[in-house]
Amino acid sequence: MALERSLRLSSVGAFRRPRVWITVLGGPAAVTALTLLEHQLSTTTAALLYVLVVVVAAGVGGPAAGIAASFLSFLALNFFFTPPLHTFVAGKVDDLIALVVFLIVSVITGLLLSTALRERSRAETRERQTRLMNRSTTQLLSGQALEEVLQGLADGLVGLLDLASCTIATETSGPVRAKTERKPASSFEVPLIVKGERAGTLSAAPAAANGPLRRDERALIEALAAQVSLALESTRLTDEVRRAQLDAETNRLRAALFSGVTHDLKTPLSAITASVTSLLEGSRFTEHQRFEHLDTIRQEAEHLDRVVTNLMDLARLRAGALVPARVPAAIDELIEAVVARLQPMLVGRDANLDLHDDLPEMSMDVIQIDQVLTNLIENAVKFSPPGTPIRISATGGAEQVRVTVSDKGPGIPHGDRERIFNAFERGNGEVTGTGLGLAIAWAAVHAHGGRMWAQDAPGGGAAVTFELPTSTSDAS
Amino acid sequence: MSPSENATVLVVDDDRQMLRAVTTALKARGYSILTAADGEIALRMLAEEQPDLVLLDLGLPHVDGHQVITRLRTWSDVPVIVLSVRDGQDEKAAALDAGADDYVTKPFGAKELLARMRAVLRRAAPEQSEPVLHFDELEIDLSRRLVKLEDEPVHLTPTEYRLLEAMATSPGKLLTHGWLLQKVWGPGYATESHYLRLFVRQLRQKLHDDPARPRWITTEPGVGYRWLPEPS
Repeated sequence: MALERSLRLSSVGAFRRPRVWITVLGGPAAVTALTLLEHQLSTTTAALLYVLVVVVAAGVGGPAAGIAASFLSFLALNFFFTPPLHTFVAGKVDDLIALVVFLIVSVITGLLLSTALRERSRAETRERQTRLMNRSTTQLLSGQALEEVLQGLADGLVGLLDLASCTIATETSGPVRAKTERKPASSFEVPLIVKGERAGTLSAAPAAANGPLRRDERALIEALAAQVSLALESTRLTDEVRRAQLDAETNRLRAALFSGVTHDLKTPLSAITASVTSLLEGSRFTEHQRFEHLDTIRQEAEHLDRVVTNLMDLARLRAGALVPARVPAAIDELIEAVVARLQPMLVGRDANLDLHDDLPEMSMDVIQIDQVLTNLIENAVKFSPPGTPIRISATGGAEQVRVTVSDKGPGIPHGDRERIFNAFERGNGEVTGTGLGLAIAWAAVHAHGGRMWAQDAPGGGAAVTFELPTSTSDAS
Repeated sequence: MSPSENATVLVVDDDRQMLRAVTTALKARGYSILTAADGEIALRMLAEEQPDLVLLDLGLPHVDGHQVITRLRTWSDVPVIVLSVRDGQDEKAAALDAGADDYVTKPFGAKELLARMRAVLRRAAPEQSEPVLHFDELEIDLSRRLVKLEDEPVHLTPTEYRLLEAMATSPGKLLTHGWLLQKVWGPGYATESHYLRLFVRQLRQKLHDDPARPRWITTEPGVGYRWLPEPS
């Protein structure tokens, strides 16, 4: 890395680094000292050692360092080893030729070596750049979370170009930053452009010690920025497609809800209208027939009330305001009160209550949990044969209470157990207000920080259970 | 017999069909009816006609139900029953705090409404306290503190008896946790509603009352209890 760094620096830039100075000045000095002190060494050996020093200098400091070392060696050779000694004059033609040849050979050797090393290092850098480009392209298009990809890109860029820091800020994700401990120089900023608008910025700060970014490095950064822009554009397109799909889904649900609700409202209304008109029409009814008509009207009116209540809850749910209005209450008393109120619906059935003695008093929205229980019981009644028992059990501990409503109906198929709590869906895939009831129950329980699920009742039938925490923490 | 039958009732509701339904049902029971479609008219009629009971819808135009109660209570003790929709729980609590006597949740049945009306009218015109209360086969002898169910004596602890007495002497009325706790345990216990819950449970057991099909005591979840039957 160090070798590569120094090679890729501009020739003059190389002299900013102390190591280059040491090599360029120290190398020839060391050879000179060694040869002067050790009398056994010949001038030929000294010349060869100087060449070695030039090669090392060229390797460490690049061509300029090589040339500088060559000239220093040439001067040292001339000054210390060719007669007349201690002058920069060559007395003999022979020595003069030798000195000039030495200079030419050492300069060429240094240049060749440094060029070869630089080429190799450039090839490596190019390969790493290509790899970074490829990887980021793949990641950007793979649908991986944008922020992760950008983080990887910033890290890669900092590593590759030895930057002090790199920041990528986009309109869709927060700014991601890769940083080193190095002191940054002023940063190079590239705008990210999506469809002619600025959608963010990629800024790269080179380390102060490395000098400003080279043109090829800037080109690489610009290329990467262009890729990020493309990726942003494709993300934006994906979002638009997704939103369109969501809209379509919402519309489908709305249409389904509308037809389901219309059905749910129309059915009891039809029954009421039929009973009322026949009563008004004035036929002579027996007392029993009259009662039958009136009782139908009452029951259907109650049914209408429940549907409308659910719709109101749904509206509040949509408005995002199902915040429980909590008061201290006991779940067992609430269950008993709801069952007492729903007696008309439970005619001819056994409502088995199994409520533990040690159920704690807790803080809850009585109306919401009342609605949860009402909807679960109504659901159980609706999906089990008349005359079969409904069982409601409640157990509790210090942390939570758990209530289960189970019936002796056909149960809920495995695949539907989550779906039934999705708004507007019923077990058989048809949309009615009953599905609405379960969805609202689910939402109310979640608003209390609890959970709700469906399973098989022991001995057959469906069992829907919900759990409420006794401590008050609303779902956020 | 009871003061209800010739009482004058002011019905305040801005929905004409609602007024018509309530008026028809009440007239059939012998009540005299006054109606008002907004709070301003209601207050004026209250001052001029001095009805015995007010049925008050909370969602009124101009002056809403809460303001009517608040202003009314500065000069009148006339019993007020609030007619509220289900999801106005806070509203309901606020109305009770402001001085309403009871509430009926819309939609309501005529039977329920009439029972509530009788309960608040009875309280408004306290009868000579009967020494022995009869509720079908339940007998409560207030002077001797004896309770009999189907002619069998029921053994109650002193607290259970005080609770039963507090409830049975206010039949049909909404008895809040706070009111019952004060009445039975005394001041300082107003927030200890788990005591109340425990004793109500014991009392129900001793009176063979199935909470899921209550005969004597019904629960108003989060609010309080009601003594269900009226004296026979």
